[in-house]
Amino acid sequence: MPAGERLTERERAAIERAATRSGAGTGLTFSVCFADASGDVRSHARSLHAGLADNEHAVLIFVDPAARALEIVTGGEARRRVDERAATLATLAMTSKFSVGDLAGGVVDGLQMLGESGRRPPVLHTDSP
Amino acid sequence: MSADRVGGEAGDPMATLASVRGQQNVSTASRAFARAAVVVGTATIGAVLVVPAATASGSVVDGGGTDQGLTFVQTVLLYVAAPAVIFALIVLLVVGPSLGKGPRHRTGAALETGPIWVDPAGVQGGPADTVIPVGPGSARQVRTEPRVTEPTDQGGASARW
Repeated sequence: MPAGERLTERERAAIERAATRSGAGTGLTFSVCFADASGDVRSHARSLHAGLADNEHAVLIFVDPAARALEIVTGGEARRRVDERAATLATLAMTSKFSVGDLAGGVVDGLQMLGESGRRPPVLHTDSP
Repeated sequence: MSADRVGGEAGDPMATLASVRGQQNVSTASRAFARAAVVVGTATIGAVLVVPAATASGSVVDGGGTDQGLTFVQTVLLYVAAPAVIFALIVLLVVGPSLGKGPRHRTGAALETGPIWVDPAGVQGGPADTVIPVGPGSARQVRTEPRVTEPTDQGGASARW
């Protein structure tokens, strides 16, 4: 692989499997995007997420390798299952692998963590705002 | 911004696929080499351990000191070569799986293929930025259609590394 600037087929397949598995367990849709945001990464990720079909139930993992930035964006319904705390924990796990150059492995770990978090059924007395 | 979706859309997927297949051949060869080394090492250790036993089984110990003991070659094989082989085997088992993975991403390096989407649920829909191949050998032209999106009630987290 030429210095990691592109994903191999195996890495893509691993990410797809993790996203599919997490989505099947949570009822949410997980998408991953590696791109150069060329500006405010957070707003760019939010815009991409807003453009997804059924974005209320969508979780987007946006990775900007050049800016070394990671964004997890959850829709209105998705954030009830995957709250900010779970997303923050997932970012910690992912960045620890990103720092050693393992982008695909970090994304897979993040998807698994988000899937595990979202699998927890919502409880009214703890999850209601 | 060009977009390469999973499953292959407009772009240059064949060059990417060819390079990926080449890399897979290398990693496959590395794994095959590791497996062969394990088999050879195991056979060597087994042979080294069996030879002295087979030699000793033919000698008669009658209390008068008639057992022959190990030869110099057997001693070297048993006490030097066998541990060295075991050591090399362990190193190979530890390092082997990572040999076929190839170099990792260079921190701070930009993607050379443009945006990469992994979207098994297919929620991305039509990309706003579309690559239009205008002919063989010509450069890609990117048509950018600004998508009007209004972020809704979104959550999530951010991080840097």
